[in-house]
Amino acid sequence: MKPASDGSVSMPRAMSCVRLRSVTKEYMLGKALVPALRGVTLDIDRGELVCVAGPSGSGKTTLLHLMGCLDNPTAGELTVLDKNVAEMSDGEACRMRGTRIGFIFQSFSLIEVLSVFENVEYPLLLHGWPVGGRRERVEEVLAHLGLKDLAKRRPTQLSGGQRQRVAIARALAPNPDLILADEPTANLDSTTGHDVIDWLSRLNGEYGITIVFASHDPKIISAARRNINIVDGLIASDVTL
Amino acid sequence: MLWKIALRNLLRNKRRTGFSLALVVIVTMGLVLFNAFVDYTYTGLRETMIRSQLGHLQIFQRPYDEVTGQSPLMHDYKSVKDIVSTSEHVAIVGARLNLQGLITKGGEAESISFIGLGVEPEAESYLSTFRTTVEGDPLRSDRPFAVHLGRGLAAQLSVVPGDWVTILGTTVDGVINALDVEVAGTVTLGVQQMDNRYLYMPIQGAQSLISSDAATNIVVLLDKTDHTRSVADQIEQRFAKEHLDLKIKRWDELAEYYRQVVSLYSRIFGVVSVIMLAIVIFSVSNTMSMSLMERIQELGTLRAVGATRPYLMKLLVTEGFLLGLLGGLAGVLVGVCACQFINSLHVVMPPAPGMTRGYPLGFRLGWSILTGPMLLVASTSVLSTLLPAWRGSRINIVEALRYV
Ligand SMILES: Nc1ncnc2c1ncn2[C@@H]1O[C@H](COP(=O)(O)OP(=O)(O)OP(=O)(O)O)[C@@H](O)[C@H]1O
Ligand SMILES: [Mg+2]
Repeated sequence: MKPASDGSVSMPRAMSCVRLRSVTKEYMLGKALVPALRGVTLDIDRGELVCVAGPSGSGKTTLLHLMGCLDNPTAGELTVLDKNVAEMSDGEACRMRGTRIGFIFQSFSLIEVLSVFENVEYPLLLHGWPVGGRRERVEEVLAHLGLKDLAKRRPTQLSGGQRQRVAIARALAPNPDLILADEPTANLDSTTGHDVIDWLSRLNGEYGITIVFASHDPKIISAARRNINIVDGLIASDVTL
Repeated sequence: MLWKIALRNLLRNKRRTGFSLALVVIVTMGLVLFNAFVDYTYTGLRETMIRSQLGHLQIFQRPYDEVTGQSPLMHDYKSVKDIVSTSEHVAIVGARLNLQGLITKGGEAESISFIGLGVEPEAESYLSTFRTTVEGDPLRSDRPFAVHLGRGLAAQLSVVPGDWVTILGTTVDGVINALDVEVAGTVTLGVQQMDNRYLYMPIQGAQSLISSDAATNIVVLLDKTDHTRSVADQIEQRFAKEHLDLKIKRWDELAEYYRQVVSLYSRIFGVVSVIMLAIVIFSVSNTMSMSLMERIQELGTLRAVGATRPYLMKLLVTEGFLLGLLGGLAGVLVGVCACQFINSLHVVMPPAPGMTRGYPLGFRLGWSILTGPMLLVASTSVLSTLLPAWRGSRINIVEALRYV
């Protein structure tokens, strides 16, 4: 959706990280339209740690994908890091994802044929980091997350918790402003899941990276200061503790 | 890194990649073998035609009729021979005189028409290496009236070496002339039709049949076939300087049969290549499509961490290229080994239709014979990856990420 021509809609606050105005998203399923988001208005500021909760099928993944510039809204206005997502070219969206946004997935989604080191290095390589700086940065991130000894392993040789830590390292490597994590603990036992959330809140605290994670696990939800509950494609509650 | 990832992706499903690779190897090997066989055949045929009959160059008196190959008689052929034989790279120079007429055993026996060739026996022994004596003695310039008959012709006349026959011809003045000649021997050229018609005799004898001291043409053999063009040019210049009105024909201009064979084989090669490359296209694009299906989620992940569409395209095409390159290299290697092996067996193929002699089965290897199939296969492989790769690079990211 284009911003209104009077310019009133696109005046983000200085601290705004993600801004949604009446955002809807519909998927085509065969000939039927499936509404996944039905008008979401939401502001997330820089430096926030936000949990998006809600039952299965409520639209959490859809919301995170939109925030991650992976998809365009059907209607409404979506601004991510001061850029209007609908107006981005594919290349610009790629650049955004590769340099300013980190993604963490439920199923880890590491590249199987690459070692831990190479997986973390990959986004940097895609966005033209020089070899030297790249290696240094990867080593730094791996060391920070306690993954140094696993650098040469392949993802299949790691436990779930280790894999998700590698995914965190990969998301962190380009030094992003925003990290999005879609049910990062769903495939992990509760202790390991807590570790992952701990890591995310540490990144939030230490580097001020805005973190948005989705979950429907009540024990994990409480880790975030701000809780957004969505039900059936609409925000049901938005609570900051 | 791109290459490393592409290679590792290929190694992911070793069996599937192996199958595709094997096909690429077989096709490349097939192309190499066919190519090498054809080249061997061309070379063999070329040298056969040159040394059995054509020589590298032939010189005629002008005006030379391009359609019929007719030309006036050349009277001062001896001085032409002198000019030619002092040129560089020239090995043998021989004059020939074409004849035709009737041949009979005499008495009541019927006469048969013949095609005759007056030759210089010493030179001709190099110019007709594929004409072999079946029976009898060689031609000799000091015995101008001792002739060779094709073995079919001798059989029709039922004569053997030592017998006498009468040949009838027309002199340059249009008068019928007869000559009694002795059969010195019988010969074969390996071609039935020629063996049934041909008669060979020393040029002096042939000249006395037509009452002239002329020759039809001069045949030149060089030290190497590669020199044909340059020597032809050089001799042409010398003729121009001497104001000689002569026409030089190169072997490739005279060898109609050779040209036909080359164009036939080229067409066969074209058809075979297309079929084989179609197999490569099918196999590689199939492998790539299947491999992409398995990796949809990963492609989504790559896009999510910032890979652009062109980057994905590049990555996937690189995989196809590697497949083609590795398969091509291996195929060339296997092909070379196969060629060497078969060459070492010295297989002799049965005679072709109309031929009386078999020919050796052989392969000739050269850089162009190896790089040609290699490039063809690699580029075909790339080509067949383009469509799957394009599709892969255009996946819908969020659908790919949800794909399980
Ligand atoms: N590609 C698609 N095509 C059609 N419908 C879709 C598609 N993706 C999602 N949906 C639908 O959109 C709605 C929201 O899905 P979404 O995945 O965002 O929910 P979620 O909250 O992440 O669920 P879960 O907790 O199970 O992951 C669901 O009804 C889902 O069926
Ligand atoms: Mg989800």
